[in-house]
Amino acid sequence: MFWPFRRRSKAWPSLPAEEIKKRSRILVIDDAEFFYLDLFLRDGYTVERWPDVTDLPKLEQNYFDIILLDIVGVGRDKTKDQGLGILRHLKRVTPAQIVVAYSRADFSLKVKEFFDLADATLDKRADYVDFKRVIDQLLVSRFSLGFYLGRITGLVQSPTVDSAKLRAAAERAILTRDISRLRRLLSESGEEKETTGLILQVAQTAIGILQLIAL
Amino acid sequence: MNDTAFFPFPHVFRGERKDGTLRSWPSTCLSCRDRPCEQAPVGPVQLCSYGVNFQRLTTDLLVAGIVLRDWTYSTPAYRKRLRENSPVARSDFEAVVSAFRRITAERQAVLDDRRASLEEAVLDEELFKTDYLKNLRAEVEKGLSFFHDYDRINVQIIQNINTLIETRYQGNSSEEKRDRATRPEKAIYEAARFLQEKLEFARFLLRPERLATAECVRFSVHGMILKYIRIYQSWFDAKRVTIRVTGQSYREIIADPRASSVIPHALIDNALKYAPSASEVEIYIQDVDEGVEFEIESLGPRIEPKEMPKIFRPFFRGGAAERIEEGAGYGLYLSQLVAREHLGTKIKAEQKTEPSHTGGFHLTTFSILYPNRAKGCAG
Repeated sequence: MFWPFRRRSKAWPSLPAEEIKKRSRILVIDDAEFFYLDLFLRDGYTVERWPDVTDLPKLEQNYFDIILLDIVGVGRDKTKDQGLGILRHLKRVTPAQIVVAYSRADFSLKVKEFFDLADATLDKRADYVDFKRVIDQLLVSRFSLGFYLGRITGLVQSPTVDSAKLRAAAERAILTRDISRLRRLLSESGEEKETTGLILQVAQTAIGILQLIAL
Repeated sequence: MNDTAFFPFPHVFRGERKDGTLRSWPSTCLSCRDRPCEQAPVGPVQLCSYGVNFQRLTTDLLVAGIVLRDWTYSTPAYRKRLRENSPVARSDFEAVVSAFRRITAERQAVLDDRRASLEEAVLDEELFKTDYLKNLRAEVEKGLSFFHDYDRINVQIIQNINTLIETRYQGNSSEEKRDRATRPEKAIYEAARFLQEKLEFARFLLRPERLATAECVRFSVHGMILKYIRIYQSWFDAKRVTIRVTGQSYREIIADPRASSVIPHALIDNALKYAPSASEVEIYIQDVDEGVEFEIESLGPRIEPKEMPKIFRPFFRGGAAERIEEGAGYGLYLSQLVAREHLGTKIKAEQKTEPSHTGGFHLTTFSILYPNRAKGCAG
């Protein structure tokens, strides 16, 4: 008998690097000019630069795949810690967001926290090829299942949550695009409400990426 | 008791008149009001208008109130003093002066040694936390107040020259594209990289506490050293100095690459500064069981034996080095700081006295063993 509905594939589809590049959005937040912008555009990336954090909700919604964030001179009207304050906020509200600490190398402790919190670091003085390499690697992560599973297990607070079980449940939730079982598992394991919300949000982001790849 | 307690002749020590152990002040000097001898600078034996000999030996010590028997010329006053006082043979006087000088020099050497070992002890313990270095940092901060501006400008230069080269030339790698760039484009790129390294270096001087929170990654020592050779190559070429790299190294160590870079940077920079033109710099990089040995040998200015223990001290510069080239004297200090505090090792320096055909330059070797895992990355 012919089954009238198309069954959803339960594997994460792989996407060629060129396709990932086409479908991704990169944002540079820096009060100074970003001179590599034209090179990135030439090479087929979708990149834009904001001289300041002009639209925080857009960042909170995970609109961009990668954000290159400077530490000094941005987000001054939102936090006294400027770039570091923005990074802390994004890590708290949207843990799936990839943020690159984009700065001139410095050694102050504040900068160390900035570098530690970020997903990667990029020295402003690096060659274009180094920028491109870091961005390409991060984009591959962004479009991979492992990245989201890693983020989810990294968020768990409750000691009673079995991380292998959680990983399996998260994988199933993402691939079937159904987070209800994952929600139940977290609730039964006594995980904090806020953490549960963040974990489910990461799973939803992964589902969004999966849909984008499947297009 | 003071430094001149056993001095045999009358003298003025630090402004105070004292009798000698063999001779006292003569009445002529005791009644002298203007005391012109006390204003005399350090120099040879002189004769005052009252016919009395004197000599300032140091800024603290003046020998006076004596009449030398065989003085070179005679005045009526001198002849009168010869009759009234019992004169001193010039050879006896000179023997006393020379003994005094020898004792003073020996005492100074003992004091220098004591000071050096105290300094060494201070430097050995928590180097960058001492008050001394806190004060030093204030000085450095003042000197580098434009640091951030330089850094910002350099970012602009690097990103723009990269964009120019990337858009103008074809190639499979950025190195290939740079190879095809014009000489001025290459020169701008190299100069910007050179400046970046200099700023990076200054940053460690500004924030040595960074060593306590090192980043620990695996990297190749050989690759790191080659990077600096490349950066400095055009400067060596301009001086017609040949760099020869020997040894075999493939090993990767676990350490902070930026901190570890300070050492080849400083030592290669040193070789560039001091090697005479048309000479050779030999760099040896060799894997050994404990890590990677790095040695740099070049001709350089004479380092006096007494200067050798001091060359790694902050802002110390050897006398001969100072005459050849300007410098601040923090390169070797910072390198040794990284070697000790982060890597848990030590840079060694030695110098061989070469025959005269080296034109007053001496074969100088700096060597260090990069351990497989830095002390700062243990555990």
